[in-house]
Amino acid sequence: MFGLPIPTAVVLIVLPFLIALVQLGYCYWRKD
Amino acid sequence: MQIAGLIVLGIYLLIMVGIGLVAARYQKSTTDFWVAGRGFGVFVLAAAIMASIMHGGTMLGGTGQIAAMGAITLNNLSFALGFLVVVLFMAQKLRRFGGFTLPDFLGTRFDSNTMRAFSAFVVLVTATVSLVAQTKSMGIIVQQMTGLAPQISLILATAIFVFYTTIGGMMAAVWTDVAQWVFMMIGVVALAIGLFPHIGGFGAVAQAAEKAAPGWTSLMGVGWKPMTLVSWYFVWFIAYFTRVEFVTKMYTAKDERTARLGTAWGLILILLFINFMVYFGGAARVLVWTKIKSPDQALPSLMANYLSPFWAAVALSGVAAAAMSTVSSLLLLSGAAISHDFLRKSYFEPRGIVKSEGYYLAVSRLTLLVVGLLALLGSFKTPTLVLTIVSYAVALSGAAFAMPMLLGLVWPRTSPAAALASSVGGFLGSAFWAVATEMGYAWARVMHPIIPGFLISVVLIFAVSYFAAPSSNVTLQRFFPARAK
Repeated sequence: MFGLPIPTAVVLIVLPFLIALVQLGYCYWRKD
Repeated sequence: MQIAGLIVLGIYLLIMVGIGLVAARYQKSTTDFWVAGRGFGVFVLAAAIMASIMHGGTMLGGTGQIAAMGAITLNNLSFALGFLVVVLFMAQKLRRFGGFTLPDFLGTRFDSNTMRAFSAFVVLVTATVSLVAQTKSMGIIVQQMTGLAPQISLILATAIFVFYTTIGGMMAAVWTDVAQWVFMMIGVVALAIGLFPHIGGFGAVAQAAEKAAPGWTSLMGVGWKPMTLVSWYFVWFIAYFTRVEFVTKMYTAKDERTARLGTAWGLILILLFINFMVYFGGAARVLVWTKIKSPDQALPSLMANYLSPFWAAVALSGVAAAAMSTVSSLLLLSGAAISHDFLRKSYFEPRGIVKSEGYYLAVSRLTLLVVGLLALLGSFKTPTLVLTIVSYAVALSGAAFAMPMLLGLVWPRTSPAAALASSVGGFLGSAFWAVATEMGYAWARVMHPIIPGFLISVVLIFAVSYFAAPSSNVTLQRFFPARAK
């Protein structure tokens, strides 16, 4: 994935972006 | 590159001066000056957070380190988790509190002028020494860009950022951050486009770097030990949610929701930006690694060899912008610690001495001017001590602030005595460990100084809170309104 072994891609790219997107969704979801 | 560099630098500096002059027209009170009238929207806040956290050293040192030690060196995950802490627990409450500085929050939350003064001392020491070192590295970047003499480059760049910050305060710092973010993005995109025909996309770079340095793409990188890598990620996780120039930006958001959204978007901008560093690090490992003398030259060497002089100057202006956006934030922190936390809140107001907003505004500007000049003088001949403290500044402020900030916002029972003990204990623990590391004791090298300091602060804040009384009810109602109901 992205030229990287799967574990590296997960730690380096997939997880951080996943956290960032979930965080963004949470901020829009919260109305206060 | 010199003439192209001078032209690009000229355009860049004119934009910064223009923003400073416009922002100066809006400065009527200290609220305008220190928190820009609390009016920023989501994207301005996000770009400002990103630009003030990413400094010139992150780009130069980061690319070099990734080239040397592998893709995993880039701690994206620490950024993501650190920002998550701010979004979940800090952004909304800090904005609702609506102070000027971090010591404002700690002093008020824990009903303690001692806490305020101690945290102002920590901010002042760590921000000022970082300011000196960052000013110096900014001067080096401008020199590489223009070919001017080192001292002239330094004076020119310092004059500009001290000018716009002194006349325009936080408003100028944030709007220049936004402009600098644009320069940074243009810089990295230009370099990526320049490199693509030579080495291909992200996947191709990673595989070529793996061939040049076996292990480069692995989970353990090149030469990392598992414990060192885990503690590297942990250190930066603590460091990101305790970055004072980051959390004080929460005060400038127009409302609580904006503070949270600005932080979440700030993380997206940072992740998009810093993943270019992996690409550049891999490209440097393959293309220029054998030709450079130190890892710090990796990025400038890529720019010089794979871009035309004009685009190399544009790309380098992105690095200069990264440096300048950080020094203006650091200058504001040092200045606010002196004129707001020490002079106004710890000296004048406790003695009942009333001064006008105009007086405080003038003092704030004067303070920034003096601190800026001192940083310039310091960067001409940077004492070794400054460089040593800089390498540990993250540890000192992280260990001093992480627990009092976080628990102060989420756990009403946190007692003022515990917060002070935790902050002082964390700071001294980290300082002691840093000194021991510098003195060459083998046992001290086992872990980064932030870890013992942080552990001490965790133990102290829970242990002392168990015995000592919490803050007054009035204070608790202010920070935990739901609990009061």
